[in-house]
Amino acid sequence: MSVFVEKVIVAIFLIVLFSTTCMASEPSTFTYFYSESASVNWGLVIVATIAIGLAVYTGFATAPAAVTSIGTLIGNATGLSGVAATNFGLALMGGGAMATGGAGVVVGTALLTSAMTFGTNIMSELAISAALEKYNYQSLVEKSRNLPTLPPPVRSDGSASYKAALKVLVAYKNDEPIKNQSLFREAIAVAENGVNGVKNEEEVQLRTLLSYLYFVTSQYKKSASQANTTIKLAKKLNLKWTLPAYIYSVSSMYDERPNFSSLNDNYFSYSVVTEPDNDFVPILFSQYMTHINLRFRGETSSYYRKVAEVANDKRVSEYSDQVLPLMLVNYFVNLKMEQQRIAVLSDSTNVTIKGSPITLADTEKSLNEYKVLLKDTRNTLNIYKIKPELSSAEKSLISAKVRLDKVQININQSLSSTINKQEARRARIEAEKLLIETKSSLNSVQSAIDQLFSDNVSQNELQQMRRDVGKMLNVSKDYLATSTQFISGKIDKEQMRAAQKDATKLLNDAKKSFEVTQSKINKFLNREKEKREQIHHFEKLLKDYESDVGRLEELINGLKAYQVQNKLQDSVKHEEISGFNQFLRLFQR
Amino acid sequence: MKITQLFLSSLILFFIATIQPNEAQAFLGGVTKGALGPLSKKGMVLAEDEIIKLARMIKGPGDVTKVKKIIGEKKLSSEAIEDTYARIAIQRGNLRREEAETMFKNLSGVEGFSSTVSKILGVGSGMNRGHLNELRIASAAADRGFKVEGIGIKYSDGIKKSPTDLDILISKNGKKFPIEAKDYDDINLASLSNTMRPDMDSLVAYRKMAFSPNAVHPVFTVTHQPSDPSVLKLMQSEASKRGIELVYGSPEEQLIQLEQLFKIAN
Repeated sequence: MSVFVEKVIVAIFLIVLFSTTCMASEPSTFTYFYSESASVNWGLVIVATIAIGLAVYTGFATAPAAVTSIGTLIGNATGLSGVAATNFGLALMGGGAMATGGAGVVVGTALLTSAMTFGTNIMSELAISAALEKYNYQSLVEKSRNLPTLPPPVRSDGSASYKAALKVLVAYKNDEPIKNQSLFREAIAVAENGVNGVKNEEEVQLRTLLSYLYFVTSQYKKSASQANTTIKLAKKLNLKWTLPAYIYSVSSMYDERPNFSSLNDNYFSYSVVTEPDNDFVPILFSQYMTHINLRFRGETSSYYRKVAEVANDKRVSEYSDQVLPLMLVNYFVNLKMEQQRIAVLSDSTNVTIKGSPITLADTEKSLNEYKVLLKDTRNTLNIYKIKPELSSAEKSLISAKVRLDKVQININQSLSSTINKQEARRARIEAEKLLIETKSSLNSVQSAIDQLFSDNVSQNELQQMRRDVGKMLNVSKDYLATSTQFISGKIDKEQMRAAQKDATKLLNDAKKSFEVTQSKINKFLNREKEKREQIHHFEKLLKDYESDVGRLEELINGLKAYQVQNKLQDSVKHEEISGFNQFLRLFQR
Repeated sequence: MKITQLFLSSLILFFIATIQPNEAQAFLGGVTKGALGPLSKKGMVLAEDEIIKLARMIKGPGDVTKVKKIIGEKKLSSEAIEDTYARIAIQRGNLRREEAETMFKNLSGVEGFSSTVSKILGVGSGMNRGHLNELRIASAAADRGFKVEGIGIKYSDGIKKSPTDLDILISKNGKKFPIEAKDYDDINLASLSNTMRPDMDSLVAYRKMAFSPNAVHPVFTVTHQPSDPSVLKLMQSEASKRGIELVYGSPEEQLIQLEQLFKIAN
């Protein structure tokens, strides 16, 4: 499929995605910020969403199948398909690897590849940091500039100042990030000028924009402060504050001593669970973990544990099939990091590095981190595999089938009574044929759904399927009821013909409904198959990382032995020298 | 959603998708233009066809000097000269576009960047390789928060007859790391005596000349360890007795170890 067609597919998908969420009117929510209230002005949405979908088109897409298949899995869970789905998924996966690898897309791809394929060799092309860096705000800001961030707003309604700031952003272009940065700064000047002239909802809207603008220009101290002011104001006005909450949670991470638990529990969590059906949720998780990878490099496990708590919240379960594999990928990337850190340090031939207790302490810290990450990866993988409650769906399907069986018996009885022999025979043959078709289709649906019961299935999709099956059964029931009347002779020839016509129409509807449901089920089954394969891959990968613990421990033991031996040699030397000195003194006497 | 709205949206989308460049990388900072697009974001730089023309002129020894002369006559800004050399290197296949972008971001304006890039334009791979290694180490150092003070800095060590080159000088928090970088597949006894020892001596001389020698930590880096264990041992012994840190590995691996050395030194 051509790149162009893929772009169109991504954009159409995302337009639909956004258009379905246009109803909210709270100015500091994602839905409001990224949707247009009046007329059609989708330009920015299109630009922004194409960019999200294709941001890594020329980068991560070069990764091997072990990586791209996860991208496809995540992308498919959004409803996209083909290359568009893969690119979308890769875009979400890529940021974390870039932040962890410490450089651009090439290093990010290399890190993702080596993390998701497992190996024990030292990856020479990876910019894996051996030494954990001391906090340096400016350095972190510089590094964060290359990371994925939120797209520009779409909403053009608002106060005069808001509109003026948005007017500046109209010139925003995907492929001109430097120019975009100056546009953002220009918009900041406009918004800052107007912030004292607005009140209530308009003030919330303008301050939300301002905090966004500081955020995308990596001015984290200002964006945190502005987001905080916005949150207070929104609370006062009893409005939701999901967007500033997200900005506050990420921006405040860049403080020297951030209270991460509070940021995670009170802000990040709020931003994703409070706004239902916000399709930005997987993107938010992706970017949040990306910033954690950068800010807390080498000690991510305790932070990830907090993120996992939010990811497991039932209110975001709709996005589990995107968020959980994303988390797993980030776990593997960090496992790779720690594995490499231990290998590089203990493999160094430099005597200063090898002989230093600092190196030994660093490798031991990395091994502990590695073990915690292993445990948490296992937990997340188990959650990813858990089957949701399916018994109610199963019951409703069975009862529907029982009803249909009763209808069938009723018709069969009616068929035995004679009205007009010729008509009745034709009707019976037709009815039986149609009935067999209906039953056969229903059996297929049921067997497909039965198969699903043994696998994992997300709740919202199951509900959709149940609705489809219910609709289909109603249509079938209507058809059969009409057929019964027709066959039993309770209606005259004219009515019979009309009923037959209706019955045929109903049957066709029923058949269409069957086909639609079946196609959905087939699509779903394919996705489930992909997911099963991916879970199998994750399982195997995790086992590889688990079995590598022994090797890593040996490497550290080797380093310990080297240092003990060095110490011993030093003390022997020292004793030899002091013995010789003693001998000299005795000799001098 | 209204069908008309979706239709109109799709039309706009169709238009925008048509004019979007295929390789757009929004929200990711870097912009991937065509392979020969400018690396510099400011000032006048040479057009792509001029770069191609200049690259094609390099066919044998001495051609790089001619090309440099032509570029010199164009009176370009120093950044535009860096841009020109790097893009010629890309066109000649001596440097990958993405690597060039990273180097340009990290090293533009650094003393010796321009002249070192010009040294990788040649035909023979031997010379190109050594200088490319220096550029890679310098760029990796900048990525890791070291300040790159210069590449190929000339100084007189008082030992060699003519001024010698210090391959790379990086610093962090007042500590300086002069680096002698070697991209060798192997080291034998002859190269140890003829090249390694003299260059190690030059590094020692550089430290002695420094205003505060204690803040100077000379580093000798080699991309591959000697395959002969006796040479490996000798290299270590030569480095240790001079107080030089000996580091083996790819540019990235070298920097990982340098970071650790920096941490230990603190």
